[in-house]
Amino acid sequence: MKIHDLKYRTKLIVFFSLSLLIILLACLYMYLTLQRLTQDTTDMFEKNVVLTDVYRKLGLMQTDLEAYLTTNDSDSLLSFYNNVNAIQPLTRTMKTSTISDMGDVRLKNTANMIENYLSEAEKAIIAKRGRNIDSYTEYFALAKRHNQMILRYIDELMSATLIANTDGYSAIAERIRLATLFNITLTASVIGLVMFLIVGFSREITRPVTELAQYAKEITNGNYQLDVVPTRQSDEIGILYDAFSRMVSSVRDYISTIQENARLEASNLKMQTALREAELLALQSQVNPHFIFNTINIGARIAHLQNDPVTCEYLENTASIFRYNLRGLDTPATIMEEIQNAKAYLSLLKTRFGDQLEYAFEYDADSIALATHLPRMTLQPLVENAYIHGISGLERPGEITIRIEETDSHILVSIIDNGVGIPDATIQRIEAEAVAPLHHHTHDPEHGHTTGIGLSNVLQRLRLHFMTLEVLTVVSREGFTALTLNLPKGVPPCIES
Amino acid sequence: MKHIFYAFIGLIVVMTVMILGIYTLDGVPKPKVSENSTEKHVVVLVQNTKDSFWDAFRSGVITEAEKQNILVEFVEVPPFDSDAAALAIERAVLSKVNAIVLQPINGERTSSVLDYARKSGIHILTFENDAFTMEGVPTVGSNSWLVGSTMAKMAISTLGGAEGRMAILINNKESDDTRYKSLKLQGMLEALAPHDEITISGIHNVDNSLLGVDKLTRDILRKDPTINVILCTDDRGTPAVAQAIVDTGVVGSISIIGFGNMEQTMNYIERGVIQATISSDGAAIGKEVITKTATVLSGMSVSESTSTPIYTYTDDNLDDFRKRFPKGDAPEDSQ
Repeated sequence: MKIHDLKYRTKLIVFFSLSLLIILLACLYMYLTLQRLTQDTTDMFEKNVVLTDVYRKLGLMQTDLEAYLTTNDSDSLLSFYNNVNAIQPLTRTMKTSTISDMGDVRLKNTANMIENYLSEAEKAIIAKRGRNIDSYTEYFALAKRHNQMILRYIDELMSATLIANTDGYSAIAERIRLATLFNITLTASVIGLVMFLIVGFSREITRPVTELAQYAKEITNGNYQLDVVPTRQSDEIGILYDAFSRMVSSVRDYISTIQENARLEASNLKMQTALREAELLALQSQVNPHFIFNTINIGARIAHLQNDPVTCEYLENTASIFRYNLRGLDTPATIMEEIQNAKAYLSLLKTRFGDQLEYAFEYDADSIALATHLPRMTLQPLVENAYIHGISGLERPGEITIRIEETDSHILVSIIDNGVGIPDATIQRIEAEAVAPLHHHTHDPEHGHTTGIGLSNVLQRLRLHFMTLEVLTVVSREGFTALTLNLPKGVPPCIES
Repeated sequence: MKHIFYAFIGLIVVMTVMILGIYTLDGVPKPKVSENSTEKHVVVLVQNTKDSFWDAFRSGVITEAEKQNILVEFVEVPPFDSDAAALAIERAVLSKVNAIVLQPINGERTSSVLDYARKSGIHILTFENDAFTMEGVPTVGSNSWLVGSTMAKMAISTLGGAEGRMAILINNKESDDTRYKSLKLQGMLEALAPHDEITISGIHNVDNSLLGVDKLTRDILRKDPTINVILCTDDRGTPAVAQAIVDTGVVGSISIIGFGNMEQTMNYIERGVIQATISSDGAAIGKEVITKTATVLSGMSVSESTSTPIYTYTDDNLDDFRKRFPKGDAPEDSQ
């Protein structure tokens, strides 16, 4: 298993463990070096401690021995034996310790000398107890001499040890100084190196994450064309890289698809627009409205000249309607102009259908509301609808009334007929379309039989003009249908787009 | 990433090696001892002087002791100080050593304490004093008679058949040891006997004081200006005699045949003040005495006396001496 195959957590655990181990080893090294030096220092003075203790006890023992032999003092004898008991473990230690230098050899010599001394002292004591004066005197003299010899030997030994220790101490002090310097250097080096490795490791750990974040930032900025360089790692980062790369690729493909679809749609739309434009141009090229208008006017004059007032009036109304239409749907008209246009239309219908149609206009001719602007060709389509759908199928005469009323906030323009009424479903459709958002408008199934303008178109233009959705109210039953336009007051005239 | 981990591993390995290295490092430098020391403890009395004979002797002792698995303790005593030597011997006895090796100076003083040591079960060996005889005590060293004879022959050679007026300086170690003095002197006299042209103006005792030797030499020359050769059997006295000759301005007119291989003696030979010196082989003596000690300690008997070579150094073969004992290259002091 390669290192970059390990999981992130494993890598972190291993890394921190190794760092900790290195620091522990450095501390252990420092501890061991100092302990070694301390041990050397301790060893230097260990022998002196033993010799000093022995030295003191020998002096005391000789004093006690002398006191016992001269005064027979049992306390002195007891003290002597106490010191003997105390010194014997020391002499055993001195004899059995490993000989590593001449100091140890001399310690062993000292121990043997002490054993000789103790032997002679014991003989003196025995002789004293046996009251053998010559004997204990002789042994005491020998013991005294040997005691002094031992003390001198210890003196020389301690002096030699002190001199050797001085040299040793100098060496140890130098070693301590070097060890301290080395340990400081080691600590600084280890810390520096571990910090360096920490920085390197953290950089290695965060680099792929940083790169991934950079890729994400590019995506955020809308650059979907970036190329995600794959990583060699097969841990969690590798999985993230792989998933991110596939995501980018999918998004890029999806966007391409959307863009392609949009392009195709735009292309189709353009095509359709062009076709319609072509159709319109074709239509326009076929019919010159001014020619038709002039033709109708001439017909009216001919009728007048031929003293045919009915035909003359009929043609004059037709020309009026045509002229009204020629002004364009984008030019608003006043309510009065709409009324005049509706009158002309109703007059034509009256001429065609005679007694089958009666009409009336109810409004205040002095009202300033009549000067209110509204989209051109609003009333005529509604009147036409009232006649076609309301009363054209009646066997009895139908009546169409156009009433203009006024409230504080609205101008109510009602088209009332006594026709068959509008089915409820149609009323619901009309009312729904009246308040639906513009883009929800369904295609108007009734284009308008003569104007080509259906109810939907009228409503749409009214809503756009008056900036309100609720422009129409419908009340209908058998024999009574009223379409009321609710036109808000105070809306300036605007040009319909 | 792998480089980082390799660096970690490398660092751990280095630290581990360093820690293990702590246990292989030497501690505070300690005096050299026989590494193979066992319960065989031998005390060797040496002079607390720094000259090439004693350096070579110590070296020979240490080398042989390591081979023989013997712990050698050098005890330094002042030259020719019988009280200090007796004290050191008595300490060695009380220390329950296995053997004592020494160069006995005063036969009577030393004999009593050595007898005490032998009664305590301690083996005794002597070196470089064949005049000191004690029953059952082996000795190793140069032949004193041969030394005296060789010195005289060198003096004869120096004179080259011309008439000679000779002064002989014998080292006197505290009191008369006529037997000792006699061996070297006998050798000299026997060598000089056929040469009537050489007369002896006097046999003088030199003490332990270098100033005394200087004064003695001046007195000798003042009293007998005809002296043209001086024989000095004392190694420390030889350079003192040479210096007295230099100070009195009679270099070249008086030949000096000395004893020992002190550095000052060699320098005087190089300068032409001393014509020759007879030297014992300190290393061979040290080696041989330890060999005999080991044999004795193992329970076997050895010969009573073993002679070691002596060397004559003149200006002609001084290089040989330098090769054997380069300047400043004295054997390491085991103490």
